[in-house]
This record gives sequence, C-alpha cells and structure tokens, in this order.
Amino acid sequence: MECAYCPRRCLLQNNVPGTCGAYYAEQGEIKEKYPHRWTVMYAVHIESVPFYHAYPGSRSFLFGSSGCNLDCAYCSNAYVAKGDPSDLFTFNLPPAKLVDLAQKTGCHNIVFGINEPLVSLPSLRELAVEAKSRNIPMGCLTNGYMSEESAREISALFSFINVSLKSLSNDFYRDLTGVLSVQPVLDSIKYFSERNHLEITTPIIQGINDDEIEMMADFIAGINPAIPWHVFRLLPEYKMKDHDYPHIMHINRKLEEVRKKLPFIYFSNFAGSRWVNTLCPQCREIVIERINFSGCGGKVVDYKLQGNRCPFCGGGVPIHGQKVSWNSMDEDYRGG
Amino acid sequence: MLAVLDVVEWQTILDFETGKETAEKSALAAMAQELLKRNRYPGDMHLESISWVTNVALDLYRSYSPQFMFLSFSKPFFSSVFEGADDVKWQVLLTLLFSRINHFIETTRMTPVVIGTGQMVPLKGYINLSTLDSLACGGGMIPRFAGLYKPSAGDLKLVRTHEHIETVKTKEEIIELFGNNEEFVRRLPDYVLAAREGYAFKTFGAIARPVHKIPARNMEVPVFTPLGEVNSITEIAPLVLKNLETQKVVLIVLEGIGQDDFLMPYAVCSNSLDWYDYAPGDGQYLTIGSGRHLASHSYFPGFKYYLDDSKEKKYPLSAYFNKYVPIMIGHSFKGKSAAVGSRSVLTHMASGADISVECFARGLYNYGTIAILKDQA
Ligand code: SF4
Repeated sequence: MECAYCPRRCLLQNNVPGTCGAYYAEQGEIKEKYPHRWTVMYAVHIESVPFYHAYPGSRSFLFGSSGCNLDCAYCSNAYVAKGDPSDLFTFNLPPAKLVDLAQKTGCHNIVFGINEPLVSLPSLRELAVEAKSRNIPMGCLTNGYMSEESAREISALFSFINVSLKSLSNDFYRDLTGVLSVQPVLDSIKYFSERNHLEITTPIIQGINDDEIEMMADFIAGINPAIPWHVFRLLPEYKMKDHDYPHIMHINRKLEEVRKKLPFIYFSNFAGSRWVNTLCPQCREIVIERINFSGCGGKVVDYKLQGNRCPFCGGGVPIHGQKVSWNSMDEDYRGG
Repeated sequence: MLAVLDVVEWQTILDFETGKETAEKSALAAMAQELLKRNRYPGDMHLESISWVTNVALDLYRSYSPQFMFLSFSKPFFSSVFEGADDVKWQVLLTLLFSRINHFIETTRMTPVVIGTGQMVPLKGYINLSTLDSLACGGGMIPRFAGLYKPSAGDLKLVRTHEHIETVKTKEEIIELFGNNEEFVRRLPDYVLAAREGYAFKTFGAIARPVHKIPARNMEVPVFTPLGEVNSITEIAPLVLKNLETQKVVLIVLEGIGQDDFLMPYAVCSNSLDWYDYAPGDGQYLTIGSGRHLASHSYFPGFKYYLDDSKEKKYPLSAYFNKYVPIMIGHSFKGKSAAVGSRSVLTHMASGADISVECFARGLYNYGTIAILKDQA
C-alpha cells in the first residue's frame, strides 16, 4: 500500500519499510516501525534549537527519534538520521513518561529536533495529546518535505515550527537530498506561515547554495517579512565531510544586502557570532541580546521588549508566547 | 580575561566572563590571533589533531617562553570511544602520539610529567535509567556514574539489585568521602550510582552516537616523570609546582591511554578515592591540574548540568563551569604558563595557564579554535 506521509509515496509491503525506514504495511494498515522510541533527550535553551521569536529564555525539552525521509548528502546528524535505527540505543517512553521527564527537568516546552518528525508522526500524535492536557506547548524542526495531509497534522500538533529551507531549486533537492522537487517544502512553509509560529533555517553550503541567498530572502519576504530567518553556517558531514566550511564574511556580505527585505535575519552555528541579536525593525536598537557560546548554542542575555513592543520607539516585534526565566519551572532550583 | 576565537577565516575577541564581543586588545591577544591563524584545528577525529597539539605547543613555546606548559591529547580517547580503532590504526596512533611527545620534550628540554587517564574497555551494554519514576542524570559522553533525584522506594530497590550497577551511594556518603564544600553539596544528587566495568548509563542527557569503548574502572593509571615518585594523581600538581622553582616543566595528559598502551617507562599511581575512580573528563582533569579531589571543583557526576545555565551565568564559553576556581598549577605558579589541548574547555579549566589554546569542538563538530588569556598576563 502507498504511504501518504510524504510525496515519496513509497509502496509499503508487509514488513518492508519505506525509504525513511520508519513505516511498513501490515494487514492493510500503515504501521510505525519504532513507536515511542527516542534516541536523545536534553534540556536546552530554546534559542539553541533554534527558535529566537518563540518563548524567549525558555528551557526546551529537546528530543528526537531516528530516520529521515530525505537523504541530505551533507547531513550533520547522519548517525541518527541515516543510521540503522536498530544499531542505536533508544529510550522506549510512552507519552506520559516523556512529558513527566520534561516537567521534572523544569522545561517550559517540548521540541522535537535532531531528525525529521514526519518519521514518528503517530507517536507524536499521542504525545501531543498528553502535552496539551498539561498545557505544555510543543514545537518541532522539520525539513518540510511532506504531503498536504501531513502538513495539516504537523500544524495541528505543534504550535511553533522551524522549517529547513535548503534551496529554491529542484536541482539542489534532486542532487543533494534525493527527492525530485522543492515544491512540497515551499507549500509547507506557506501552510505553516498562515497557522503557526514559523521560523525558517537555511543551511549554507559554500559554493552550492550561497548564491541563492537573495532569492530565498525574496521568497520568505513574499510570504511574510516578519518570519525570522536563521542562516546556518553548515559544517558538512556524511557524504560531504571534506567540503569547505562557509566563509563567514563572504556569507555575511550577501546577508547585508537582504537585511532590508527581512528584518529578522540571524547568522549562526559558530561561537561568538555578532548576528544573533534582535534589532527593532523601526529604530534598529537591540531589543533582545543573545550570545552564541557554542556551535549551534545561543541564549538570551538581555531582554528589553515590553510586551511585544520596542522600549525605545514602541515599534512591534513579533514574539510567540511569553518571555520566561530559565529556572521558573524548576522546583529544585536553589539559586547559587 | 579575554578569549580570542578563530572560526577558520574569521576571528573575534570576547570578554571571557560575559561571552560578549569586546574592543579590548592586548599584546598577548595579538600574539594569539596570529598563532591561531597559523594553526587550524583539523577536527577531533583526525589523526592530525595529535600533531596539532605539539605544533601549537612548540609555536607557543617559541613565542611566549613559558616556564610551565600543560598539554592534553584527546584523540586516543575519541578513537576508542567512537571508532573502536582496529589494531593497526591504533598502533599508528600510538606511534604518532609518543613520537610527537618525545619530539616536543627533546626540542624544548622541558622536564615532562606524562600521565595516561587509564585503560579503555569494550562497551558491554547500557543501563537504562529512563524507566525509573525519578529523574536520573548522567554526565559526560559515556557516563559510568549517574545521579538520582528524589527516587521512589521502587526505584531504589531496582538500582540496588541491578546486576550491572556496582554501587549506590547516598548524598551523605559522598559528602563524608569528599568533604562538604557548599557548592559541591548544592549540586549533589540524592543518590549516586556507579556502573560495573564495561557498562554505561543511558538516561536523560545521554548522547546518541554509537559507542565502542568506555573507560575501565581504573583504580590506577600510568605516569612517567623523572621528577620523583607519584603515588596518586593528587600528587602531580604539588610535584610540578615544587620543581617549577628550578626548571621548566610540561604536564602532559594522554586521554584514553592506560598501562597497555603507555609507550614510555612508567610507574602506576592511584586514580581513585576509596571506591570512586576517576574517568577521563572534568573530574580527572581538574584533580590532576589542582592536586585536589572533586569537592574542590564543585561538580560530581550526575549533577543537573542545565540548572546553573541562566542568563546571568558567567563564563559561557566554559560549558557548565560558572566559576574559575584559582587552584590550578597555572594559578599558583607566578611565572609564565601556557596550555594547549584537544579537549576544549578542560584545557583552560585544568591548567589555569596565562594562555590556553584549545580546539573549539563541541559534540565532535569542529567550530575552530580559541585562546583564553588570563588578566595578569
Ligand atoms: S514517510 Fe517514509 S515511508 Fe512514507 S512516503 Fe515518506 S519516505 Fe516513504
């Protein structure tokens, strides 16, 4: 039978999984191969996921499973995204147990990252019910390559979503991710932008997609210029581990040209980045100051917004949810 | 303190305490900028990361003329853990490692103290703590110790009867053994679990990368030095300090190297305190660097690594450390000191050197290099 989760539309057979390795058919039903199996669970700053305009300052329970419906040649998480899940240790945690853990670790929200949520959708469906019953918001990172039905479901399960837009070109997607068209990704972005808090991340591979920066900025601005755009200095791994790392000043020059179109462009995945603060689009004052202290790390160190308004000029800055302090949900925090 | 960060073709200078960019400059920072430009880090899993340590160390030795140097090599540890290196590759690694060390010693004529962090053994299996009612935290890449918080009676029964858990200690027992430094006690879990040799804990905070080998229960580790007898890893720092009065000394830490692989004449020294044996990582590094057991460093395995990471936390580039405790050799010694290491943060934390040059690798991703400069330098 045909799998409807993503446009690959794999023909699933009894006990023979599809391309992502996550689904198989049994007695006329699509089954999840590794339900409620998670490979990692961490407490992290939401900014390090990255989400810069959702629940600023919060502690996220970041978790992931294994497998992916794309095969990105440069994947930096190939050991979980592309490895054989049976070689990986997995935690077998039903929804209530995972949400318990998120609460015990003082997390404000739950975020699925590391690999693609589409490959664990039935489990995430159950998890979302549990999280919702305890008023814990859920977010995810996704490659956006999914069917309309899946986009509808992802949109309903997660209130904040970060989509990886790798390119606007079908050639890029064909040559470097193993699928024929970028269109499903663009459709997902459009769909989420109308219903969810949306941020977009673009991994830059020097010499391959850096020429598309302006076009991608135009595409995002055409949907909504207030969408935060994370331009990610990708360190290629997997099949491209010998490829050059992006040159920071070269990429930043290209970003400078498009900052007028998109006021919330962030450039990171390297420590010490100067381009992780939020500036008020009207008066250009820093309204949220962050530091990037690790690779993909980052956190808020000064938050000046009053509500969603700039304290200097009163201009609006879109923020999803409230600013919270790191330990506000941790009952064991004793200061120090 | 300043930090010079080098991200391949881009550099910035940060205030080390806040992690923010600064316009402050110094002669040492200018020297560090040039040095980092000359010496790009090849990456944790590259064999060349071994030569990177000695090349930078020789470069620093020439440009800064330190009396004390601290070098750390983490490649053998990473190879054992993540590659399970075959015999031929392992012999190549060992030959390169010891030949580079010998070359450094011969070139600088510094008196060496070389210590291996201990033997590695194949991973036999994981102890899954995620099914407990209570919160369990592991620590480091492959935790052999874990902390339990508010365990239920059922949890305690389970861990006490688990065939792969060797020891279960209460917080009070840990305090009795290590002392009651306030910060140390504040972070202690309610119970600490130690795995049997060959087993590691899997719980919240664990990494997903497949692992081949883990540290053995190394009650003793190999050490080589012409400076005299060393009975315990805590005796190294005082011995180095005493001899710095009369000679140049280099302290070299070889991670993942035990007695079977130590290609120098060696003696063994204690790597433990009662039942607790140090595994490669923060506790062992800081104990070697300071000569003081864990309580002085405020962290015991299994602590909640995220708790102190609020926006006010100082030293954001030093992982979870929020204090720069001035008890390392580089703090006590008033002459010039320098450190180079491929174990990132632990290089500056364990050396206390005037200038610490280290890889800026996180989770094996190579983000460049960093030089950390003490104020008085
Ligand atoms: S989700 Fe997986 S099985 Fe389903 S169509 Fe996509 S790749 Fe194939």
